[in-house]
Amino acid sequence: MRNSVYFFIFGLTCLCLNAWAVELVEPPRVQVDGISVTISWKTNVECGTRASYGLSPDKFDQRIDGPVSLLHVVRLEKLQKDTQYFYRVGSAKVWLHTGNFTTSTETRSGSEKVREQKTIPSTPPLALKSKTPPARETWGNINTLQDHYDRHGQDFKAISPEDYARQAWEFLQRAKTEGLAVKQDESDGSLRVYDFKTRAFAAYNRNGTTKTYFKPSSSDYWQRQPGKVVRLMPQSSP
Amino acid sequence: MHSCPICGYPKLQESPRSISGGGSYEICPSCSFQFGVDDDDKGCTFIQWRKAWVANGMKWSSKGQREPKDWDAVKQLATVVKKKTPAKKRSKK
Ligand SMILES: [Zn+2]
Repeated sequence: MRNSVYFFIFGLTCLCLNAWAVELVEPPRVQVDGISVTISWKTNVECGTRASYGLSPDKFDQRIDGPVSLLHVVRLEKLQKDTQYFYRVGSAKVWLHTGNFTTSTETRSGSEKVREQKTIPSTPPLALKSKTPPARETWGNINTLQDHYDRHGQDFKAISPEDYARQAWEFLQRAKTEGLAVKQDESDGSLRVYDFKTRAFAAYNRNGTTKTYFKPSSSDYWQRQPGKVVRLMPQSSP
Repeated sequence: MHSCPICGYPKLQESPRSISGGGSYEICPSCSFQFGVDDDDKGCTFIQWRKAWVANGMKWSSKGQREPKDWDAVKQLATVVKKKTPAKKRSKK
């Protein structure tokens, strides 16, 4: 009798573990940008982020770990030019996908070589103007500009709220022309932009007006931001 | 309108978090917490921030937005602290 109870509990535990098994929601997205590669993937339940990669399918000798999340993003940097790499992604407990990519000699701002990447044509109306519009047009809620400037203006050596708002707007233009990293939040249409070189981060409303602009102090802040990785179209000529 | 989960200010323009879990980046004009920054980047919890705000005298923080004439920090705070306080358990006989 006792044995059958143990067997029942064991079976129930297995069933539960199976129900909570981590699975990919969709195949990973791989963005090749010269010798840097961004891999993002979604899982059905929250789990840790782990990717490993190497030069042969049986030698994943490099590893990157990230936070517990549903949306996982890792960036592999300083890879060799024009080289095929093999990678696998998953969590600390399980590998979920194995694949490969080839780096290039050119970055996204040069000749294009971007794969498995969604391009969105959502050019905000403001982007069509060549001169920087005034803050009352570019800042989402002008009443809040002073507070954002007080907190973050010094990150960009801004000399006034107007100057800070201008820099935030120009950052969005750079996201289009220089191909900065962009994520689109599908729940509200907002955009998040990050520059890996300067570590500047900004968020914009659906219509392109600025929500905030600052330099995060945590190194994985960008990786933890939600949203689908997208590419903004370069600015059309006015 | 949304209320601040830290100080109870009732007129935030956006929900502190979107459905995706992202911060609104709005700075509460009352307690100055920036959602998605002070928590996600600086690692502050709501409770830590609230304690610090209370310890500093619960002052109106925004320079860009004027303190409302009828603003009452204590009354406002009570709305959020009340919500967070669990109901007292009745003793069973
Ligand atoms: Zn507040």
